[in-house]
Amino acid sequence: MTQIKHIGISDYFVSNASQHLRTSGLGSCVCVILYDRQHQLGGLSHIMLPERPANKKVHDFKKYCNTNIPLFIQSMIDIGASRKELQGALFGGAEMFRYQKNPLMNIGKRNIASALRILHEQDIPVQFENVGGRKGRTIQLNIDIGQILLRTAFEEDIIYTF
Amino acid sequence: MPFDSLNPYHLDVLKEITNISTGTSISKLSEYIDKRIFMSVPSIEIVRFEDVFRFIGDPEEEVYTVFSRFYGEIEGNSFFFFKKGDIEQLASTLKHKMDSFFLLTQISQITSDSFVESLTEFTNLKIEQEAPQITFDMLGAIIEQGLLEYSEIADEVIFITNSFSLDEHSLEGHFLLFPSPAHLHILFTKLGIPYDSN
Repeated sequence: MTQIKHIGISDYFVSNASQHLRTSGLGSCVCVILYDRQHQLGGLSHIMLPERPANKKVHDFKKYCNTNIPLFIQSMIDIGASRKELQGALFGGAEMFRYQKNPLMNIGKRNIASALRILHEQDIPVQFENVGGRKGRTIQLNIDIGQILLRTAFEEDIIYTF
Repeated sequence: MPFDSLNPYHLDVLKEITNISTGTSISKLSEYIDKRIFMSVPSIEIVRFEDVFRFIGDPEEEVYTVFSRFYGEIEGNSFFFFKKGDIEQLASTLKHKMDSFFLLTQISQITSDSFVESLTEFTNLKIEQEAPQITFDMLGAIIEQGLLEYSEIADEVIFITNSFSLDEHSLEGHFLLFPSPAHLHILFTKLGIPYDSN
């Protein structure tokens, strides 16, 4: 049995085909997946917020899309992935509860926009996207076969294959 | 860090406030369903966002949740979690039969109204409240939203948990509170407790 590595909030993990990567109960956060098919290398990132505020001293670069994703890409390259081979996928950014007082607060939407923009800037093609809505998601990347399994509370599981 | 100025006494005060407010909502709920509900002593922790999930259990478990935001002189989110089986069984054992969703609607109204009412009464703060929302989904996804609303201004959250039980049914409440030092300052000043937020 291939081991499953669980990735928590504001964190990412890159690996070869020896383990599956999984993040559970994703809500308004976004999950970015990077995959290099040729080298059978993959990574999963669970990101909390869109942009690092310019005036904020930050020790946690993994918390924001604009600081997390470039580091995440570099980590993929560090374990032997080829920059040109990298493909991406994006999940999450739900709005579990409406903001009655301030509808502009929708962080899920802002997370999706930010992640897509940064992936685009970094020249990573986004192959699969399942974002928004009002539902939690669990995502598992099976690196050996290049498959992503998406689970939600109400619907059938969906499988995406790179 | 925003919560450095909190000493154990301050935390006890926060705990007591929650205890009284949730106690009131639980006793109202108990009257409504005509069953005795037991409440445990609340726990209070200042936790980093990443660590909150360790306190709440399996993020993938699907639960019924009554969620409500309150804001004004203090701000926060309140969550009441119920396991699916528990709420369905509870609904079926009540004297007045009702379906589980209707029961939840009732519970949400009772718990969140009396929570804020009691909080206002005790602290004398001006607090407003959004209408409670009910959902059934993964625990992690639900908590995530509560955290994210504060994560742009803080890295930690004051996390208060109350557990309740009713026969073998478990009900659980989680509260995410007071994100900013300014709010804490207002709260403790009103209560006449010295608090140095610098």
